[in-house]
Amino acid sequence: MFKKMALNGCLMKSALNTHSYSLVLRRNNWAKNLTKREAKKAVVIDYVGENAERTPIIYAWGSAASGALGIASYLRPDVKFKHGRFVISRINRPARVRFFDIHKLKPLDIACGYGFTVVAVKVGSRKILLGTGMNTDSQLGYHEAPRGSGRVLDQLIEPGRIRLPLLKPDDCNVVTMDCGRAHTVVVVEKEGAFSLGNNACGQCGRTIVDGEDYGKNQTVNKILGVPDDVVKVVCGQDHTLFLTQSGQVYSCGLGADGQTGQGHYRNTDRLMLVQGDLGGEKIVSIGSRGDCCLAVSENGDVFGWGNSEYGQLGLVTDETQVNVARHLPLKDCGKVVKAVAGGSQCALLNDQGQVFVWGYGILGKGPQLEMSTVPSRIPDPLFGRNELSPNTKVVDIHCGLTYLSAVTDQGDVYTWGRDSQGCLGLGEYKNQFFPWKVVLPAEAIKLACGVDHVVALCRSFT
Amino acid sequence: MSRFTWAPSAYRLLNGVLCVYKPAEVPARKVVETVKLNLARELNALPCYQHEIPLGQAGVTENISVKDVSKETQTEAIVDWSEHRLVLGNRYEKTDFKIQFVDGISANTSGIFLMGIGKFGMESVNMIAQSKFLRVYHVKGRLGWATDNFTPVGHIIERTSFKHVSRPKLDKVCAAAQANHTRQMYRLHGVNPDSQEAYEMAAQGLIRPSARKSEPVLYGVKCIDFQPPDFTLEIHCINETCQYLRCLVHELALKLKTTAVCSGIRRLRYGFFDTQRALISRQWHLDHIVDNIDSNMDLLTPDRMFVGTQAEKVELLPPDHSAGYLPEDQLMIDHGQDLLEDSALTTGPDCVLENGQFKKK
Repeated sequence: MFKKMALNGCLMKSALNTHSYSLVLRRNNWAKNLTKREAKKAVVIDYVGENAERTPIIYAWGSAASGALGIASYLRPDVKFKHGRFVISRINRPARVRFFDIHKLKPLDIACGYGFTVVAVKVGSRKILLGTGMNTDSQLGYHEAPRGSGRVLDQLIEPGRIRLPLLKPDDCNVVTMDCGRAHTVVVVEKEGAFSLGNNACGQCGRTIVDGEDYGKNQTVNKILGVPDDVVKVVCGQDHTLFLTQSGQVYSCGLGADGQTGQGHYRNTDRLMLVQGDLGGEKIVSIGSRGDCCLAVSENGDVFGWGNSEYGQLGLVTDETQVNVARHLPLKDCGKVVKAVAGGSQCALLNDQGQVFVWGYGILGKGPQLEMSTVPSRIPDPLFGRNELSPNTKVVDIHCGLTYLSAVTDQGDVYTWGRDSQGCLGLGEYKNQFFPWKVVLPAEAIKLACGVDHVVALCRSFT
Repeated sequence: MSRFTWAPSAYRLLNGVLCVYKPAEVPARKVVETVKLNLARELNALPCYQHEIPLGQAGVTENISVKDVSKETQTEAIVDWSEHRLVLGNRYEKTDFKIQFVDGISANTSGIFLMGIGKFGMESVNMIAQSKFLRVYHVKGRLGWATDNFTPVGHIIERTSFKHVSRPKLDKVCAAAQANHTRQMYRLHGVNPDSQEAYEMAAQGLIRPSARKSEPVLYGVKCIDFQPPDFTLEIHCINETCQYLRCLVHELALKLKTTAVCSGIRRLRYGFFDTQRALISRQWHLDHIVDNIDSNMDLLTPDRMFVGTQAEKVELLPPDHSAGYLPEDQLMIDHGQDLLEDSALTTGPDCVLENGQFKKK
C-alpha cells in the first residue's frame, strides 16, 4: 500500500516537474454522450394527454382597482410575492386570470358590470356562479369573512361564490345573465330569473322600497312575472331588458330617458312589454349598455328607444328622448343581425360581417368622424380582412360605455374608442381611433365589456 | 460554345441585376464565387485581345533577310510570341467582376437570390434593398423533434408527441401569428396612430415598414401542406432572416403543445423576381447570365424600384394564386410542382452535390 502511494506520489511529482500532461488521463466522453443522446431520443414527451380538450381560458384587462379582474395578487401583492409591494391598479394588456386554472374551474359564461364581473363555471359535475369586484350594493351577494364575524365584504378581489336560492344549488344552469351599474340579473334554466343588487329604480324587477340599504343584503330575489322562455337578458345602466324565445321584449327599471320603452318617463319596478313599433315583430337581438336601447328583428329591421342626446336615434327624432320603440329606417346596411348601444355610440353588424357605427365620440373611422346620425361603415381591412386572408369576417360586436369591440371568426378581438384605465387592452393608456387588434394568445369565444374593464372567455389553440 | 465572338463586348453587357436559384447547402458567397469563376473562364475562352494569336496557332514568323552572310551562319527565322495568348495571359480574372447580393439566404436555404453585377447592377441592387420587396417562402417543418438550432442536424433536445395536432389547429395558430404581426406593421411604418392618415392607411390594407433594417414583419402565414409529421408553411414577409423563420416554426409548434424543427426553407419570390426568371446552377454561364440580366432590365423601372421607399401599400394577389404578386399578364405557374420535377433543384436526401450542381444518386 505504501509502495503504491509512493509510486503515485512519484508519478505525480514527475508529471508536475516535467510539465508533461501525457500522463494525465484524457477523459473521453464520446460513448457517454452518445448514450445520453440516444436516451433523449428514446423518451417521447407528451404535452397533450389522450383525451385532451381545448382549455377554456379567461383573460381580463382594464381597471384592476375594483377587483373586477379577479386577480388577487394585483391588489394584495404579498399574496403572491414575499416582498411584493407594488399594487397594480390597472392593466392595459390581456392578463390571464389564473384563479380558474388553479381551482380547475371551467368557465361557461361571463358578464361584466360597472366594476364587477360574474362568471358561471363548472366544477367537476357541479355548476355554480362566481362573482368578483365591487359589492357595495350586494350585486355579488352576501360575503362574510370569516363566517359569523359580521365582517361583510364590500369588495371581492378574487372570485367568490354567489349563492342563489335554487332548488338544486349545485346545478345552476345559467341561460343568460348580465350586469348593470350596480345590479345583476341571472336567468337559470327551470328555476327562473334572479336579481341581486341595487333596486333604486326597480331594475331588479321588484317593488322599490324607499330608503332600502342595498349593501350587506343577504336576500336574493326571484323576479316575478318573467316569462319561462327568456333567452337573453341585457342590463343597461339602471334598467333591464328581457328577450323571450318568441321575440318579445320586456323591460323594467329607470325610465328617465324612456329606456323602458313603455310610453312614459317613470321608473318601472315590474316587467312590462316594450311599446311602439315592436308589436308583431319577432326580435332576435337586443343591446343596451348605457341609456339607449336597440333591438333587431328577425327580418333585419332595427328598432331604438331611450336616450338620443348624441344622435343615436337621430334618424327618427330630433328630440333627446324617445319613450317607445321606433323603427329606424336604415339604408344600405344589409340584413342586420346584431345592434349594440353604448353611452353615446351605437354599432350594428350585418350578416355579411360588416360593421356600421353612428352616434357621437370615437366611432372608429379616424379622428375626423366625431358625430353621425346615419350608420357609417367601418372598412373591412381594419378587421383583418386583406388580400392574404380574404375570408375573415366579424361575427360578434360588443359595446362598453365609451368603446366598442368586435370578435372575428378567427377568434381575434378588435377594440376601439375612448380608453379608461386601459380597458382597450392595446398595451397603451390612450384612445384608439380605429379598430385595433388585441394581442391574445388564444381564440376568443365571448367578450363581456364593463365600464372600465373587459373580460374575454377564450379557448386555447390546442 | 458561347454565341459571342469578342470577349470585351460580352463583358460590357455584364452590367445589371442577375437572378439565380441558389441550391441548398451552398453558401451565398460560394454562389457569387462560382458565377465569377464561370464568367472569367468563359470570357477568357473567347478572343480577348485585338491582335491575339489563339492557343492552337504558332507565333508569327519573322524572316530577317540577311544577304551577305553565308549560308552556314544564317539564323533560323525568329518566331514572334509576343501576341500569343499564352504570353498575354488571361484578360479576365475573378476580381474583374464586381458582384453584390441583396438579402442573402442562409447556406441550407434554397431559392431566389439576387445579385448586382457591375456599377449599374450594384446601384440597382441597393435600390432594390431600399424598396423592401415582399418575399415569399415555403418553410418545411417536422413535428415531434426539438433541436438546439431548430434544424434537423442540431443537437436533439427532446422528442414530443404530435398526434393531437391537426390541420385546423395549425391553421389557427398560423392565423394568430399573422394577425399579431399586423400590429407590428403599423408601428414600424412610423405613422402617428392617432391621425386620420393612419386610419386611411389602415383602411387600405397592408403597409410596409419604413426602415430598411427593422424587426421582421409577417404579412401572411398559411399552411399549404399538412402530412404529419411534415408540414409546409407559405410565409409572406419583409425584413426576415432564415434563422427567424426557423425560430417561427419552433414557436408555432410550441403553441400547438409540441415541438418542431425546420427541415427546409425555399424562397419562391423576391418582389417581382420569381422562379421563372431564376437561373438554376447549371445555367450559371455567360450566355444565360447575359440573357437574364437583359430580361431583368424591364423590372428596374422607377414605379417598381421606389415602391417601398415611400412605404406604400403592398399590392398582392389573393392567396388562392400560388404565391405573392405578379403582373396579371404573366402566367402563373405552380412553383411547387414545377420545382420538384426539376431534379437539379430538388434538395432532398436522394440528391448529392457534385461540382456545384445537384445530381440524383
